Amino acid sequence: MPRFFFDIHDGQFTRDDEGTNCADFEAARREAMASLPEIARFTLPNDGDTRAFTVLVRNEVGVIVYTATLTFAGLALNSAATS
Amino acid sequence: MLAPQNDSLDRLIRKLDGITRLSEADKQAIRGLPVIVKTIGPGQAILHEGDPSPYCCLILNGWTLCQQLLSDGKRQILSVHVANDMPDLQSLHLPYPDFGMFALTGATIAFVPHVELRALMAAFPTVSAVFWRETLIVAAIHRAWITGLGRRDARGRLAHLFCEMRARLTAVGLNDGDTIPMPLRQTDLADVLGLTSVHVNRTMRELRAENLVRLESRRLEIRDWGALSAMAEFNPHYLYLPKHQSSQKLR
Repeated sequence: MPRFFFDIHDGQFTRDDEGTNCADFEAARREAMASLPEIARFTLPNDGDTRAFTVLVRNEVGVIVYTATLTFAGLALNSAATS
Repeated sequence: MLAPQNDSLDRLIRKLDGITRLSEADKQAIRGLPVIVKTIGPGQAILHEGDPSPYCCLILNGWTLCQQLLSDGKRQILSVHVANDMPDLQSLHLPYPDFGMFALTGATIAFVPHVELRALMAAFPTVSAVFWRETLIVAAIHRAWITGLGRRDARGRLAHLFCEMRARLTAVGLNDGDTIPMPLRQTDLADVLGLTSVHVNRTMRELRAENLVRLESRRLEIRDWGALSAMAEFNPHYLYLPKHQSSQKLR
């Protein structure tokens, strides 16, 4: 099974040196699609209102084959409600 | 196979005796159980979902996993078993397993026939009670996992699993100080924790960067038990480990 590497940027860059085995490109794309919202789910509540999560998927020879960005943009609207 | 057979029954007696004090007559009766000892290769199935087995398994060494599969190929690992576990005691009363079990590593398993086990339990109420208690502990572990899967974040799930495995492996003497075997690979951890493999990889790197654990050559070193168990909100009480074993370990 080919190995794909999923580098994640979310304010800071985490380079994936270990990789994950995926059957093919399609499986790697699905893994990226499932991972970004999952990481965002657990990271967002501990952080600010504006965050972008980007994944870069590299294949075994280092070519970036897929990229995706998930953005969260929250805005508190009523100053009374936030005080 | 006489030697390993006797050895496996002695292991069973020591385990049960650690849960509830057994009388000499109880022990003698357990020693009379017939068992079949088999070696199972890594990846080999031990139980198939829906396929009744006339035996209960006692794991003598190695790791096994219980799992359920969905039609799209997704899998949930329901439980992880190590030496001295009896993963399918419920098969005594629920003959059609609602899960499959396979060997993660090479494993040696003692198969105890239901017929003789039932006869033993009918004749020796203390033995019957201790097996019931063992089944309830397995259920307690399932509850801890449900809470983790439903409500813990990724770090909490991974940290809790590592704490639990350290406690369980230490109770059966399979730790080397703060280091335990960890044959679960990234995809296995993902299927235990209900996370994607990529997310497990990232979470593992975080725990490593914070110097809580170190994973190398399938061995996990817990470098900061205090911080890891605090992050996991780990309380070993649900494991009901024998007192003398749990007190020396959880510092």
